Amino acid sequence: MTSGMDDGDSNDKVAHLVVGLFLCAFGLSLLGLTVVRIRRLMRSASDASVLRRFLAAHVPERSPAVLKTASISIGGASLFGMTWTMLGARFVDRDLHPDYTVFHYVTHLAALAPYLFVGWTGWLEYKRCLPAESLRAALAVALWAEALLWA
Amino acid sequence: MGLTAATTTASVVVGGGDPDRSPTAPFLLYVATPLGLVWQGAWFLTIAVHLHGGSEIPTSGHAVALFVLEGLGVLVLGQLVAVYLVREWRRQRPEERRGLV
Repeated sequence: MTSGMDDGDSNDKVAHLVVGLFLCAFGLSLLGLTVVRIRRLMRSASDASVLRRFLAAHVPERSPAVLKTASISIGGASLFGMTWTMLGARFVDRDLHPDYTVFHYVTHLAALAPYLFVGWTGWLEYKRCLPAESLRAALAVALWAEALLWA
Repeated sequence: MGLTAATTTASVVVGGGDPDRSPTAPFLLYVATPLGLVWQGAWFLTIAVHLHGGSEIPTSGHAVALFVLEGLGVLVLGQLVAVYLVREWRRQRPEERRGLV
């Protein structure tokens, strides 16, 4: 048995931990951003309701900083995940589980690739090469792909 | 995962909603996406915690209890945000709420 398997499949454990932490952090940062934006809108005087003003101002996303940060973080995290899956498991951790075929790794790469697509699409939206809402549409595609893979 | 994908798709299709209609549904769909991401992250953390104790990916049987706990966590988080927003709203003067200042 190889060193990666000695402590109970360490690569699997770390990989799922990293993905879980990233998804939680990404979702919580978006929720936090929504709360901050609503708080700012509540301070400004207007006849329209807060939710209506929020939707008018932030859907679709207009902030270049948010688009840039989101696209870089999603794309970067996906690239890291793909590199980890391809190289980390094979060479760094020597996690050559006897039950893991090449399809095990291909499945995980296929789950990560749509998120790389999300990052790339977000970057193109940030550069105004694609219309508004492209990042969220790509995210929907990635989530459908993930659901399809693990259905 | 499918539910998150469905709400995200619906949110993209609905967008900002119709200005003549209630903004509640488009807003809830908008918020459902990051909530779904948190939910999925919690699921991956569940798998990682489970792998820490054993060597198998958790099956649906023993994942349900952890899912319920994660759901409660998300619920409490949403509750805290709602409490915070209501307190902020109450702190404003009535004329500010009506947009007269």
